[in-house]
Amino acid sequence: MNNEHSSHPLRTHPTKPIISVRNLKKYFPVKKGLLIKRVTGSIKAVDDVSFDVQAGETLGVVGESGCGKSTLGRTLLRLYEPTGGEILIDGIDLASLKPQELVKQRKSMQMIFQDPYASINPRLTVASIIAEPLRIHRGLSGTETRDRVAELMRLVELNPKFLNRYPHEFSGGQRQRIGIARALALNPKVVICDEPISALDVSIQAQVINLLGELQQRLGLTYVFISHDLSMVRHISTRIAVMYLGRIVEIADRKSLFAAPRHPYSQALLSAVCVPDPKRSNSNEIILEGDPPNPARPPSGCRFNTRCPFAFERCLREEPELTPRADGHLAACHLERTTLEDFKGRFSE
Amino acid sequence: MSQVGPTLSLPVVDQTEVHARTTEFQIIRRNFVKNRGAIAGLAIILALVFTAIFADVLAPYDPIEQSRAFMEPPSAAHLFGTDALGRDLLSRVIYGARVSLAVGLGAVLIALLIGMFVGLMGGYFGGRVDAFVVMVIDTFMSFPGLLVAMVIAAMLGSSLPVVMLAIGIGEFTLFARLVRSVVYTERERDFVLASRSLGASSFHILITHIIPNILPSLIVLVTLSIGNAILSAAALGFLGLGAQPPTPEWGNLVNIGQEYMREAPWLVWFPGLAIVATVLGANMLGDGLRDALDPKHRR
Repeated sequence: MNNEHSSHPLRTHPTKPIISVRNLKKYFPVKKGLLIKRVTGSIKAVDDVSFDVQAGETLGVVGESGCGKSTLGRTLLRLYEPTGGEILIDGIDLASLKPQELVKQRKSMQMIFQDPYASINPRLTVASIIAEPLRIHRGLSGTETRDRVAELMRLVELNPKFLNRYPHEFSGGQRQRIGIARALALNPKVVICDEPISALDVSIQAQVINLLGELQQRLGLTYVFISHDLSMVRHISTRIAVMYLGRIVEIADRKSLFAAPRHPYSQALLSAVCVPDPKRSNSNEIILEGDPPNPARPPSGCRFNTRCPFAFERCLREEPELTPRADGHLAACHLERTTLEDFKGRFSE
Repeated sequence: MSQVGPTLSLPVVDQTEVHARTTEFQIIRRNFVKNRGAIAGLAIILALVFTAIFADVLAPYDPIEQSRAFMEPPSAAHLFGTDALGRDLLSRVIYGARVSLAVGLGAVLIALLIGMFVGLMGGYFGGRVDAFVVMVIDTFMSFPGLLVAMVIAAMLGSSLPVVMLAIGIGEFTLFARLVRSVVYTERERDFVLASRSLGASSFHILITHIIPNILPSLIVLVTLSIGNAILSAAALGFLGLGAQPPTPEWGNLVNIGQEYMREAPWLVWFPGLAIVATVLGANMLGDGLRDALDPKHRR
């Protein structure tokens, strides 16, 4: 199995990846019927997704609402049962683990949630919240637990004096730090950040992002950073995966992706990044027509063909695979490359 | 890429600050004690329980001994007056606390236990378990609680534990429905998902995250149900399935007193007051407990 992996076409890096996802699928059944429910179809929230993440790097996952980013994050941790595929973390396939074994493996991967008001129990003290993972996996005495909680609080720059306080006494940013401390309690190798800053004030976002960056340096963490905030993803990521309708359409190094996206969808998405300069208008922005199709009935062939200005006959028939390109990008498009100029040409026609 | 693995070796300072802590229980107790209503409620309930336990000592007369003083209004000799058979009402109310409190608290406890188990199962596990639970609840709800209680009491005889069980089963649907609906929303919360991602078992999630969050609504329902249970016990007695005369019991005393409402209204007042005191005390106690358990109500 290992040999197969090392020769996989998606491997763009010489060393062994810490996360290796192959053909991951998550379909949600659509049920109909009043008394007797019949499965009439499925929403393909994550459909045949494969990627690698190297230890210590941050993989940004971007895409518009409903493209399956969050489902991907939750399926990676098996908070949703995958419909198919492999999730190898440090060589262990989480997708096929039995429940008891999975519980043990949960130590190595943790999640930071989007909404710090919903993701921590309002009835527990900060100490109990951060100590929860330690209690679940046992092994520490009462005093050791408290020391560890205090240590974690200092790590996320919270004053350990507040450990007997309740969540409602903290601001959104502080609550998110509590969530981060909880996620780090078991020394995970991998942390999935599911839009960890989108519920926070802009002034707090930078603080939390910088904290995440520092923690990564200090603890050698690997992040999968899910977000729709393109500038934040650009700031924190090593590589970025662009998702559209349950599939990854392009993966590339951060700089290279922003400089020259290969896939027409990436191009359109990244052109929407705001420029914080009132004098420069965003004249290069590409406005796509229409809405994403229904994920229960994706279009045949390339999923982007309904909105892609370059779609030709082959795109309607054949679904493009993620394939390596000359500049190191992996892109799922039948065309070798499209440029901004091409787009402009198409739209002016 | 930096080194992989745990490198958490920060200096641990302020040991005293971290360890000089108050336990959760101490915080709850402190907040409970500060709440005057809660303390008053606790005092009322304790006083009633005390009365029930020491009824032999406290009652001035034998509760079933009849005398020639028929339907006398309250006086120095008979503080609560006497009933149609010349029995001392105060003594009857004092002895009545035994049956009534036992039935009130016992039946609610049984209803709570059954309702919570059924509701937790349905709400937490969902799917087929839930469909089954809903079916059970609906079946029981299609009969009046009293009818269910009557059937059970008729089958098993009319001893005190049977009456408690009968009323408990007759009323459990209220608890089951409440618990089920609250659990249904609570289990979808992000902190439950977070707990699962930490590797928590269903049992851990139920105990740490779900039950504490359904307690406030449960406490209110419990306190309101106690009065109901006492009255149901009276109805059962009236139908010949509960405590039988001459055993004194509050609901029964009210029931019999009703006939003499014009001539001797105290026959209703005093046992009625005892029921009101129980419900009020339980309510105040419950509200205090609910607030003490809620972090947002604390100062």
